[in-house]
Amino acid sequence: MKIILKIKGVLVLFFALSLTGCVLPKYSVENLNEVAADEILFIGRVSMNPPITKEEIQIENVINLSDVEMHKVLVMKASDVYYELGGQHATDYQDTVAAIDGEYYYFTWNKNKPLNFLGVTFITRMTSRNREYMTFTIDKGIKVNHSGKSKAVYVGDITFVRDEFFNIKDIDINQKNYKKAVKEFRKKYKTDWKVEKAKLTSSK
Amino acid sequence: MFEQKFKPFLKIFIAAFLVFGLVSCTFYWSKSKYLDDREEQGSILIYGYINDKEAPFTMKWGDVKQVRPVSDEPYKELRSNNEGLFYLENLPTGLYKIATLSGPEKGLSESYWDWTMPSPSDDKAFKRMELKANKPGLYFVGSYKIDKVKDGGLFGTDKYETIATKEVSEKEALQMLLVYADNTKWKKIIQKRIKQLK
Repeated sequence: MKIILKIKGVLVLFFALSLTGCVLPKYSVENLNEVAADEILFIGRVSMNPPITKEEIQIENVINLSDVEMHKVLVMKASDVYYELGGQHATDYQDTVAAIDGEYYYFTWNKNKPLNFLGVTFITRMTSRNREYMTFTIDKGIKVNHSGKSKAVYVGDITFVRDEFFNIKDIDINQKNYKKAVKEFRKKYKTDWKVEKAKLTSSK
Repeated sequence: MFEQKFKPFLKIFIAAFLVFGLVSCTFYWSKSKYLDDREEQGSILIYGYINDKEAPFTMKWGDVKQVRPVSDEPYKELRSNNEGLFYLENLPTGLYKIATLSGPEKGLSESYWDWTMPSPSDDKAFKRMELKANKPGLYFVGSYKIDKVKDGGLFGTDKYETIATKEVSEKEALQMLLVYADNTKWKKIIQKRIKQLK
């Protein structure tokens, strides 16, 4: 079972790599031992409303061995400094987080570095001839403020409300599911770690 | 026995293969310029214009995405008159978006370009690239230009952007399109629209 889980992780990583070219994205840790002494585990969710369906994007000639469907992968752009993303895809940059639409992510970040979320990139077309992405930029960014004393920090839910053409209509950011997120985190990693609720502000 | 029977054909096959190999570098297959003469009831025709004079490629084809109704093949190949006009007829009413305009690179290069059209989030002028076609008929997505904004010089990379222009009006685009509409239901529809536009 452990091997299967590892294979799954590798496959998700492999797919995320295909999105980001040669740059390595961050992805959910397999166990809490992966969280280094100078790192914090960030917990949260990113989702699309309505979720992107298989029929809305075109994937051809791609063998997906993972059980994560490609239309559900959202690559979040994170950075220690805020800058205008300007619609540029997260595929061009380092410091990306491979998340799955609507599912919790658990990724590590250096506790001494500020954390800003700038936007999210997803695939709209991947064929032998075309590789196209769409990026939703978070206007002014989201800065994740925390005390620096906790090992785990809850970010919250970031939901992109979009239309049929993949235009952003609204961005909803809330921390209403803090208790549920903590419960799921503790169950997943069989831990009793305390989880600090981050203070979210505008990056700019 | 087998070898003797097929030996002459083998030579022809190898020769054909070599010839194809030589010409395939400069050979691009794209749709006919002429509109389909099938009578599709309740359908739409999408058309637009792009000035590719400063572009690194010559626009010869492209894709329109059928957003709604959802289709197994959402990307449909556009026709082009090879002079900037792109179009496609007999599509069902629904939501569409011009996705890419493509063509062979200018000069001696053997590669081709797929130019992704900007999203309205980048520029409101491109809202026209997205289209809600509730009724059958003609839908003009506008006139554009691929503008060279930075010359990269000998070793750098040139930079381009797509800008909305008024270079070709809807009427002028229709006049260009009319040439390819003979023997189709679209001819009368185009002529009627040209008259309306005056």
